[in-house]
Amino acid sequence: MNRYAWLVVLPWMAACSSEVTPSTMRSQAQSACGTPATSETLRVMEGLKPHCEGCHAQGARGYFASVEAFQGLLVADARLVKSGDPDGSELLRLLEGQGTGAFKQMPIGQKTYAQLVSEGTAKLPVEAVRAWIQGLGAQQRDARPDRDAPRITRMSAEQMQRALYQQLGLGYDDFFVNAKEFGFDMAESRGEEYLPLQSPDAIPAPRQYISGERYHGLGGGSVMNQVSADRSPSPTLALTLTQVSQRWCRKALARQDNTALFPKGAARTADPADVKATLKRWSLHFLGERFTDAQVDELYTDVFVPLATPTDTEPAYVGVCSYFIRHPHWVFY
Amino acid sequence: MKLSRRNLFQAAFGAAHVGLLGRYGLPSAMAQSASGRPTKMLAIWLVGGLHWESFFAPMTRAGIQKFIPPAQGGNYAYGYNPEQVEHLDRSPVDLMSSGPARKLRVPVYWNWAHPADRSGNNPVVGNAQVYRPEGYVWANPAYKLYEKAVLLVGADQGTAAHASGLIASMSGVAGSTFRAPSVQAVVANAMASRFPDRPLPNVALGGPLPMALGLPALANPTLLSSSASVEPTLSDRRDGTWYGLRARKDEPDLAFDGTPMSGTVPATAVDAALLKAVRRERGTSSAGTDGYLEQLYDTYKGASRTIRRDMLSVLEKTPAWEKLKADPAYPEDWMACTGYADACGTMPSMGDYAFALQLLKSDLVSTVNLRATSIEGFTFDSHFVNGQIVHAQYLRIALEMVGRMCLEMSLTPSRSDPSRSLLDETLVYVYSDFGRTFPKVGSDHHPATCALLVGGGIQGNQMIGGYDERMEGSPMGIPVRLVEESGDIATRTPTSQDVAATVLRAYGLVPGKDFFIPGGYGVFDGVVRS
Amino acid sequence: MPHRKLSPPGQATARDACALLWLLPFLFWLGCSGNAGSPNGEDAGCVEPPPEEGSDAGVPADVLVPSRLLRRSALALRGEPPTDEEYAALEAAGNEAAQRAYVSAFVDRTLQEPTFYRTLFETARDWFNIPPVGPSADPPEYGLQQQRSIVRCPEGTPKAGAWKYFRDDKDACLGLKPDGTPAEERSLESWWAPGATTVLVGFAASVSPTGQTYDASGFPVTVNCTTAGPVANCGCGPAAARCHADTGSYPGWEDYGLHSPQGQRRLVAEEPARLFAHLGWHDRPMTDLILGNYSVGPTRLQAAYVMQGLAGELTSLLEDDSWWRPSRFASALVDPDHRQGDPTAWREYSVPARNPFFLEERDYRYDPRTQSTAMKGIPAAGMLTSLGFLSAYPRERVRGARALEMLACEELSPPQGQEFNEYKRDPGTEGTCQHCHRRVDPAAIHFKRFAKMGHGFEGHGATYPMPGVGKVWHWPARWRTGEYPYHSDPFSHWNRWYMPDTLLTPVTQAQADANPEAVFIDFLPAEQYLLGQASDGTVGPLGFAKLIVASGSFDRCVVRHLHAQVMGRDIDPTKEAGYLEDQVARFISGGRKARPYIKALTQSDLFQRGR
Repeated sequence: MNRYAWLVVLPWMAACSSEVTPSTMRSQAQSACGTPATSETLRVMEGLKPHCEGCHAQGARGYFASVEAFQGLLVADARLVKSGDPDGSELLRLLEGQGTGAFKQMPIGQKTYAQLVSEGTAKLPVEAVRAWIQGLGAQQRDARPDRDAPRITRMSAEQMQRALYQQLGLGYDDFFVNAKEFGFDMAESRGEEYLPLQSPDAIPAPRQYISGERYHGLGGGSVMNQVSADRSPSPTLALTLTQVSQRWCRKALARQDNTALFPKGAARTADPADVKATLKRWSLHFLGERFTDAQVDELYTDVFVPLATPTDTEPAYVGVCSYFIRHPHWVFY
Repeated sequence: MKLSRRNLFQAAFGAAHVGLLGRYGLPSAMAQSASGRPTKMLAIWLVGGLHWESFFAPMTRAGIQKFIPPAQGGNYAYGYNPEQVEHLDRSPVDLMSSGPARKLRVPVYWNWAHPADRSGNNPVVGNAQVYRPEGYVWANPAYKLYEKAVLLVGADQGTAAHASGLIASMSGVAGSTFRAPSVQAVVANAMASRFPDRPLPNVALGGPLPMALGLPALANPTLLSSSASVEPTLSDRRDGTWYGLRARKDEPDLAFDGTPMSGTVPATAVDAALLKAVRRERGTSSAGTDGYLEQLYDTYKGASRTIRRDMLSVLEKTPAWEKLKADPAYPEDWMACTGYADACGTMPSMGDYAFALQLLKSDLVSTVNLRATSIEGFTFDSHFVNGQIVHAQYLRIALEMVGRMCLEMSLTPSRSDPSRSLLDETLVYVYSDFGRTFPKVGSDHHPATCALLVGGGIQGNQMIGGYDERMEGSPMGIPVRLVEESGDIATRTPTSQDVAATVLRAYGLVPGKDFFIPGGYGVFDGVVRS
Repeated sequence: MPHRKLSPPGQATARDACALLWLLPFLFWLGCSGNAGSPNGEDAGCVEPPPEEGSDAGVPADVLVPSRLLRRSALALRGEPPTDEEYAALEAAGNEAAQRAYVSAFVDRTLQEPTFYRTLFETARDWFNIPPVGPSADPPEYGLQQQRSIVRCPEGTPKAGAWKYFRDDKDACLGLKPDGTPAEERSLESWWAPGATTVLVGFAASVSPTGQTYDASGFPVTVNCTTAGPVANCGCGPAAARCHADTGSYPGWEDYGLHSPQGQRRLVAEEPARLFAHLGWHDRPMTDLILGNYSVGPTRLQAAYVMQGLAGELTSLLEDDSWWRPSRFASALVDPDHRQGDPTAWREYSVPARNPFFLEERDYRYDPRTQSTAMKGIPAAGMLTSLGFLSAYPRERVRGARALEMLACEELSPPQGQEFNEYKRDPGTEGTCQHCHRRVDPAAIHFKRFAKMGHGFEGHGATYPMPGVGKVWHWPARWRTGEYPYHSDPFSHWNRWYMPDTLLTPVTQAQADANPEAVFIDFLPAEQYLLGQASDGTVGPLGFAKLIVASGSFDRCVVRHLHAQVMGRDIDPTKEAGYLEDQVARFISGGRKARPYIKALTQSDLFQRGR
């Protein structure tokens, strides 16, 4: 199966409802869907492609990224392709070397498209492009977002740090003291064993390299040091978040009267009822959703029980705390 | 082929390439035939853009006289005369031949009779220069490192901007972001099915990360800025983090869609519960959402394996500098200096070569990306007045360092196949952001650059390509023979795409099938051993 | 067959995918169902999706529950999740509809909180990604017209508490000049301590109109202190404006160190992002970011602009106290983390008032090919004439390229295998370079008039000429030969790249010969275009800004970035051209203000969906 046909159908399915693909946007107002590419449009695209795709494969002028892109970015752009009016279409002018903007011809550099046709390199005649534009009707763009695009995003390193401080009842002072460098405060780590992290762009900035590196490990960038952020779910994130969540949960649980995790009145015992109440509370606290009783039971059985010993529930509480932090509903929003 | 991955590629790339990239999800056909091919990569990024032409001499006699300042500088040896240029193997040099395929040749700054000499005057240049020993490691007849090295000359990066050039060197295509996966990630992915016990396929020791773009999550780079990062990131040694949480069970390995796969995942109770929770998310929202969740899923699995592998213990038992120091000419505490002793520095000041050695010797990784400089962290973006002079001093030292690294690797037997060395099973790929304008016109950025390949799978003692000596100022490259994706031979000026394709071809990866680089690409003819 | 329903995306297994492939030719042939023309050569028209009845067949059940929606809103707008109290208040609001109303009200409240300002600032900072101005010699000297460092005389010295030059005046704290005679002393109200008395001692206190320094060969040279600044034995000037009272432990590092919260180098790096946040916070149109003649900054930041103006010998600035006397800026709008009148606040200020070479007028035209009177300056253009932007990117093409990428969302990627004409001398029209430089050079032309000469030392020495502007920044025509003393930067750069008859320098050789400063032409002549737009002749970065606004690129770019912040992803022009168009229309209909557009995003269907 020619992969190309696949590309034809996808935008078409998105644009039109048929018996085969249901619409996801019934609630959208009128003129939501876009004019689909006709077979003649496809023929023109195929003809132009070898001479244009090289530069026009992505971005704001990525006309040849897909049929969708060709239709939506080029055919539906009235300046470039004016339906019914070839001479009023910048595309045609460019192909003939009569461009009116910054570029006088397409392709750039040497020969125009028209010249490529006359020497036989390009197969689709300019007349065909002309006729195609002549025969086009009104074009409309689909105003809906791409329904296959991701609908979640990963928390940034900054958001993670703030969320962890807030939800674990920890703060800057748990990890750093201020120390002066040239007379101005920097964040001096209280100890590497606490796994401190701080953005190099923050005030106070981290004094130890490794505190900034751990921030980069969560995918944080730095404009001051020109380090790119990485908001993908990367191996470094997974490893760093595992280490940080466990250590920080342990630290938070070790604090007396940590009302972030155990508000007044909440009991911290080994009693299953108390534990489950905490798990239920924590699901809202960390994830912003209330686990059902079934979910709570499952978490209790799968994580808390294996990690608890008759004399010590601390690792079990650390484990479920870390579970919530690494949960996809925590990492993504 | 899953829709979700396809959509991910589309998001990154444009659907025209989806069909080809989609193949990355399948095991590579080359997994079987591997004799003589490398299975690891050491990618060394010399930071800032290099005056390659100050260390190597690809030009003809006329070109040298036209573009290179005459030999001068005394202790701060700079520039060279045609008489100074020799083959590294000391065979007779023909400086009239313009290539494109020739033997490796360099301006010789050292004293062949006493290579460590750094005080004698060099009569070959009429005593205008004092001997400089750095660089000799490449010519040392005791090791013949040149037999394993190829220089690809005059490749056009398509940019003169740092970040863009770096991405061009890593992936073949210049740009502010990656438009193709880095060669490091491609190789890591290709090796993953053959070497599933390498827990970190793609490791970066600093610098911008060699991104995997749309490749499977396992090929994503892990940042380990130094060996000190291993313990807090990759191990479960610290009680503060791991007390009571270390127990792992071998859970059945399931794909994101629940399909059973062979093998197990050494998961803690938390890991297993999380994997279950992520699997449950599948199909609850859009295809793109599934794509993200699948990445998280695979990454969590990888993290479980990594920690269980206890890389820290393995690394603790893995030596770094071990073999080469038996040669008194190459001690571990080597201190290199520019000039008389203007600036000096030891090996660690040039980059974490020691940690890279440990990682490669330990068989824990497939690709290591090393950010390297000259002594005391000197980077090569020498825009300043007399920059090209200073640059030349530091570059000799940095390339001596690279040579010593290669020697250590060549003296270390491969763990999986003792009949070959670690250097044989690794391709060392040395690159920079771009080249620099030729010395007589200063030290600005210049899109024509070189790449140095050392080690496994390549035909050594070669210099392929050259500079167009008809140009004024800073020449671009000359045409070379390239094998295109179709198999046809083309003769044209090489680009960053061609360098990347050549690197990948050394591993036996098939162009168009196992990898694809936008913009057209060919493999330098005669570099990869078939 | 036509009635077969496909499983929704994401639930398709590999098996389904194969089945789907089998169907394709059939579906293709069908075209859009029913009410359209044939797919063969005629336009098929637009087909409306018929209304779906009945069950949610195939629609992902991914509408967020109110508590997850609250979490998303909180993270997107203020960078922190909801607190337990907020979740409790949400639940207490009542049924689902009431809870959704709570979320909507929460959004409204959050948009008025300082954490929203912080989000705007961080978004812009990461988006612009402007590196801090680099060191130009050794730290702590950095690009920008700096003030000279003065330090406090320590306890136990005769002049304890008074301020003296850090270097070259070692006995001042003893009350002595180097030759042993008594040092000068002066009490004044300084710019950094308004309302208090500051004592200067030694050369710093000098009010002599002339001073003596030495040239490169060591010969004494007399300078006019008013124009030369705090060199040698000239003083700090009125209000000690020429000096920086360094409170750090090593002079120079207070301004250089990026960890120093009021350090000028940091402030200057933050200014563009702070301006963006200010516009969003105070409901200004986002176009002010590049079309406006005002900016935001604390007193210490504004000092840099004043110094630049003084470098051009606009000595009247020395009498102006509007940038440091709190009563003069008590009503200027500030950021929500500070009070009005606070010298450390990011307050709104008029850029031309600080550096008059950044002009107030919005339509200044100047054609060096035909005009011989001195150029007044270049119009202020928001972040594009911010010193942080200009100094971080040292040359016009770098500035042009970065501005295109940053503010027009242009992608500059290398050519992919086409054949080009031969490169001879003009990257804008020849060789492979033209692939990018066709766009970069018409952008770059606007960014020529800010360069750097020399290097400084602890606060003074380097200068930042705006060539052809005012009365100072002109040189004998000989500079075009590149011979000493015009052999180094910026002359060498100008001589190499500002060549007549190129896209970057559209002047004829004759025009350049007649007036060398013609090569600094910094507007797009009538026959040139950028992004499809012709220029109205406005010079400098403002000319560039007008072009990218007129082309719609700026609006699209801002929308994409705001969308990315709120919705968690960029808009893909290749797939969502119509969606982008629609979003831009919404943005413009809201006056190009951040708040209404962000609010609209939070009310969109897509914002309610996910996990």
